[in-house]
Amino acid sequence: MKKGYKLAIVSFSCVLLATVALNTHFKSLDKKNIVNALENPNTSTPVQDENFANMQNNPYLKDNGFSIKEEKGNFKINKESAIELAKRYMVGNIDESTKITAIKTDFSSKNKIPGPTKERAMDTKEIKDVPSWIVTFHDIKVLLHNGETIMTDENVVIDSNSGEEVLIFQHESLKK
Amino acid sequence: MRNNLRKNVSLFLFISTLLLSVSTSFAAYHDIAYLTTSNNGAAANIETQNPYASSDYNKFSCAWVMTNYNTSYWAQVGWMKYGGQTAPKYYYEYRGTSGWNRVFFTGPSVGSFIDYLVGSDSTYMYFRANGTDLATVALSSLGFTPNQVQWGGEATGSDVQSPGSTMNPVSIGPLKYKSTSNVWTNCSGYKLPGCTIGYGELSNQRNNISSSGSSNFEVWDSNY
Repeated sequence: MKKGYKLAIVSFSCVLLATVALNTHFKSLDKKNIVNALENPNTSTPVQDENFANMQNNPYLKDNGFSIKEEKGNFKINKESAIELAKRYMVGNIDESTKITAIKTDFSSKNKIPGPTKERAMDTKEIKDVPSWIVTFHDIKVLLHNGETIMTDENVVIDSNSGEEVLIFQHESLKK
Repeated sequence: MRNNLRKNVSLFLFISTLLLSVSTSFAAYHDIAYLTTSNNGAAANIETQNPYASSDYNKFSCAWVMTNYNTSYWAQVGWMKYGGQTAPKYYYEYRGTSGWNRVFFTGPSVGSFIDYLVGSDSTYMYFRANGTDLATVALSSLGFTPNQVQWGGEATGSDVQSPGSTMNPVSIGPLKYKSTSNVWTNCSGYKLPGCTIGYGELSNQRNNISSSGSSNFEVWDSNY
């Protein structure tokens, strides 16, 4: 009987530790420090190159009024650093099996980002030909307002000069 | 002795599995006003706050205006704070017959009062904040005819802060909807069916929506 309790306590501890580890492994990262991410990129992250045509043909790109041009020049921020930043900016939850892709683009939107307050309503920000990384996290589970969960792709657009977040667009996973 | 051990371990594994499944389950709870009417959009001014949203990336707290068809399809705009984020972001979102889509932008400032509007003409659905279009999406990509408008706050559970606090509620209003003849109309919103007057879907989600409907209201989380 005593052995049973001991085993139960040990098992419970293992389950708790595993849960905490799973929940925090990737996403316990501090989102505030761009410099730290640039200095310490996680080079072990398995990343694939996205096919530019795939992204260009993404129907949600057009729906949102976004457009991209292929960019082949050198970026101030390399791919590994861009991915590290994207992990900090993203809203979804990933784990070690999450497929990540990245492409270099000049990113534009036909719309603008509103000012931060009503008093600064005209202080809008244009997004036009911004040299950017688009880092895509594939098949991320998202909770919808009606309680459903669906699989989505989360695209984090990062200014390749400043490392700042341009925007994030999510959509239902594309069937390829 | 061995049987007891087996029983204890089995029971423990069962309870652990149950606890794990509960701790990773998803749900969204609403503290909102609604109006069922054919419409071409919804609008309101909403205060921005910075609720506690935990460090769990599956959780969020948000406030928005929305035009929708039942619970199947919707278009909404507002602010949202996800777990792990330091501040709320502007966002717009739709779920139409062609799929689900959401976009986040930096801002708005905490403490600001932002005019949000989601509404359509004959060609596009506009997602607007303070008069600036966050997006104009072709109605053909949405593919639904709204039969309801909603305004309010939402959170993923009582372990995160639903918009507002007891001392500093989030104000929402004046509530407006766009009629099918494209006229913006002041209106009243009503509590969700099944909710007690003064409460949202969770017991910590509170509001002051009147039993006869309110054209302005506040929402808050009684745990804060």
